Amino acid sequence: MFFLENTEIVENDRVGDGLYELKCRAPQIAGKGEPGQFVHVEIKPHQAASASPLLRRPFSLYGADAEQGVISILYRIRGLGTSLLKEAKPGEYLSVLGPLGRGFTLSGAGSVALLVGGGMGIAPLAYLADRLLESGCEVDVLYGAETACELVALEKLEQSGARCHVATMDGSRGHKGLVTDLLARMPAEKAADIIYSCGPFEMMARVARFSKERGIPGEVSLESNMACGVGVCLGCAVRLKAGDRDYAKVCSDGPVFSIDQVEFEAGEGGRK
Amino acid sequence: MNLEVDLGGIRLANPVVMASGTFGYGFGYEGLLDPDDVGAIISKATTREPWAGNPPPRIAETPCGMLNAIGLENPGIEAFLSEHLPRLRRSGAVVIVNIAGRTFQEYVELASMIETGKGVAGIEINISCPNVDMGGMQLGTAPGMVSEIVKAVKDETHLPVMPKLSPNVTDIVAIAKAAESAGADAISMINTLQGMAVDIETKRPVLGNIFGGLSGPAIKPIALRMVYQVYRAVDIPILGGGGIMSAKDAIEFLLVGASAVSVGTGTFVNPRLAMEVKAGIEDYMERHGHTDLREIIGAAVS
Repeated sequence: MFFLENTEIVENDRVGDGLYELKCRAPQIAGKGEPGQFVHVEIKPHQAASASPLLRRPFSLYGADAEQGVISILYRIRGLGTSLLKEAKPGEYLSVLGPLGRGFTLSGAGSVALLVGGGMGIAPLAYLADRLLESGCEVDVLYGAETACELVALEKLEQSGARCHVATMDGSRGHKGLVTDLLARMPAEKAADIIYSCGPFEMMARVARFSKERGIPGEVSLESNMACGVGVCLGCAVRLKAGDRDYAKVCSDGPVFSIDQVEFEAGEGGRK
Repeated sequence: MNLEVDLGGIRLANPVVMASGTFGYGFGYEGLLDPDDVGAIISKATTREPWAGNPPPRIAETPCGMLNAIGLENPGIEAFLSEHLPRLRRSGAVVIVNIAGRTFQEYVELASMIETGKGVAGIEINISCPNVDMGGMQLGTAPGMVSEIVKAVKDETHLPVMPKLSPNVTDIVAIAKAAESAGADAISMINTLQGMAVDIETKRPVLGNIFGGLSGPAIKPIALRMVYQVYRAVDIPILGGGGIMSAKDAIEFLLVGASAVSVGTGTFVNPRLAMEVKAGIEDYMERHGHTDLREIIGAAVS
C-alpha cells in the first residue's frame, strides 16, 4: 500500500558539504513508512515548461514521524535532480510517492543489532536504529564517511541511544580508514544477533563476508536508477547472484535483500 | 458527452490507453489508478517462453526523456494467461495483449494461445521493440515482413489485431499501408526511437545493452508527425502516443488523427496521469462545444 501525496516542505537544510536533509508533511507516508523503504520524489524542473529532469528520484526514508505526519530524507548533491531539489524552499510543495519497496525485517526485543553504514547509506540505518531502540533492541552502529563533517547522522544516532563507532578515510574523526576495519574489533563471541548494512558496494561486500564468517544473518539495502519505483517498468533490475537466470527488481523485490541472497564476491560488474 | 471509441473492433469507454510495458499487468499502481477506469490496458509484452531481459543498467534519463533497454523481460504466455489475465479480467478492464517473439512461428503460437484465453479484447503485435536482437524492430522495418506477420496472426485469431509500429524506419506510411492491406484492424504508434547515452567518466555506454529506446516528451513532435502522415494514408483507426504528459498532449494526438491515445512514460512521473488526461479531454470538448470524441479526431489534418 502506497500513497501519492502533495507534500509541503517543512525544511530543506544544508547539513554538510553538499549534503542536505529534506523534511516534508506527508501524513499517509509517515504513518506507513518502515525503515528501508523509500519514497519517489518528483523534482521540479528549473523552468516550468521544461521536462528535465523527467523522472522521479528515489530516496530511502531517513525518518518518518507518524504523529507529526512528517518524513525526512538525506541526500547528497550528485546531479541535475539533487541540484534542483536543494533549491526547493519550505512552504513549497513536492509530489512524493511512497512508501515503496520492501524494508528491513525488524529484529525482536532484546536482540543486539549491528548496523554498518557508509556515506548516504546511513540514511535508512538511522531510521532503523530509532525503530530498533524503541522496540528494546541494543544497537551498535559502525558509521563511515570520507571526512568528519560528512558524519551528518552521528548526533541523531547518539541521541537516540545507539552505540556509535566511527571511521573516516582522512582520520578527521574516529578510526582512520574503512568503516569495515571496525568489524575486526567486534567481540569474537556474539558480536550481534543480526547485521544491517547500506552503503558502497565494496563496503557491503566486506560486511557480507563478516556475516558469513561469523554466522550472523543480515540484510543489505541496494540502490539503482529507477523509473516507476513500483515494479512495472523493470528498469531497476539487478542480478543478485552471478549464475542467476532471472533479475530482481530493486524497487519492489528490494531495496532490502537478505545478505546471503546477494553475491558480492563477483564484484558489482560480475552480477550484471 | 460521448468519449466512447471503436479501435478497430475494440470498444473503449474512453480513449485513454495504458501503453505496454509501463503498467505491468494492471495492478502496479493499485489504489492510484484502477485498471477499469482507463479505456484499455495493454499488457507488458508477452513471449512464448519466459524471457530474462537485458543486463543492467536498463534505463538512463536524457533531456526531456528516458532511454530503456529492458529487453522484454516477462514470464511467458502461459504464466500470463494463468496468473495475470484472470485478475485483470475480474477488474473489468479492457485488456489488449502485446505479443513479441524471436521467430514468425512464435507470434503464430502466441496468437493461437490467446484466442483460447477468454477475456482479451485484442492483440497488439510488437514488431518494433528496439532492444531485442531477433524479431522486434527487425520484423517491423520492412513492409513485406509486417504484412506477412499481420496476416499470419490474423489467420490464428478472431480478435482485433493491431501492430505497433517502429519509428525507426525510412517510410512509416509504407509500413502502415502494408499492415492495413494485410488485414490489421488498427495501428498502434509509435514505439520508442533507438538511441544511446554515454558516460564520459567511465568512457562506456550507459546502458548494458548499449542501445535503448527513447521515450518521453522528447519524442512527441516525431510521434505527432508520424500519426498525421499515417492518418492521411490509411482508413483503419490509430492508437497514437509518444511523450504524452498532459491532456493537451493527448488532444494534439487526437487532432492529428489518433482515435485513442496511449500514455506510457508519463505514468512513471505522474501515476494518475491517465485520469487527468481523460478529465482534460472532457474539459476541452466542453470548452469547444463538442459532444462526441469523433468530432475532434483528425480535425487538424488537411
